[in-house]
Amino acid sequence: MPLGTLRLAGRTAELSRLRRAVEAWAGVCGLSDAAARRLVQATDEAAANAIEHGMEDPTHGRIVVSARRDGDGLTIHVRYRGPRFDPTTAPAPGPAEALQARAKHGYGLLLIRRLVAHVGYAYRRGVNEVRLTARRDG
Amino acid sequence: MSHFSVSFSRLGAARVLALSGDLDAHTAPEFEAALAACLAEGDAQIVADGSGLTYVSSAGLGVFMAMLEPARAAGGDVVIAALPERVFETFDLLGFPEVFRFAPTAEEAAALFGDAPAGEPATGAAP
Repeated sequence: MPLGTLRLAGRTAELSRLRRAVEAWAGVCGLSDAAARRLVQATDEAAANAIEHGMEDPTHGRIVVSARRDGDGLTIHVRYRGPRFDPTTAPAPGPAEALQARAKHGYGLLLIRRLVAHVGYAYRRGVNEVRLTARRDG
Repeated sequence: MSHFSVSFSRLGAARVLALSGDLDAHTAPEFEAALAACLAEGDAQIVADGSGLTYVSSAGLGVFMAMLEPARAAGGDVVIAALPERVFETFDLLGFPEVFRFAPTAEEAAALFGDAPAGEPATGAAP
């Protein structure tokens, strides 16, 4: 069941508005505080990746974020136009490697993969869609 | 827009950066500039007081990591203090306690500079 949709400009200043929206959707779905917090962070990371690395046209393009009740949880869809970028398979150093290298970047993908119950991805007609699912008690 | 601020003070030899609000992709550059300013002014013994932090994203984590070696190379360290549990969880999830020292309070963080050799990561107390 659709819960809502948010359209964001390609600016990091939009991220706090996104986090508040996901937190509200998580509340409507009855997610635990921990599950909600993790979903908020995973969504923030996916959108930040899109803004900073993925969007074809951050100046004029939009990120469309929608929420859908999904069985016993909540799925957030993050869509943006840009080159194909699959966060489920994109190379990322493991935490130990990243720490060893004192890496400045690469933690976002690690967090996305660790924070939610399921990460899905699709690429259709130039649009990336990242799906982040949290379970009510996750 | 994200609320975030950094304020500066001293505790003994340590420069304390008190962080407040959300440290995300939008505000991380402000934090990076603050840390870089400390190092440029010769202050490498840095306490990041996170008691006012409400959120940290990967961009914030990256700034901590990027500034760690420059601080240690200058004879100091970056010690993270007083993180709320929910914020510490993000650091912990990626294993940052293996690399950084954490302390329950800014005062205890500052005291670590007198206890441990500079430039050597030591095990600190998690919040």
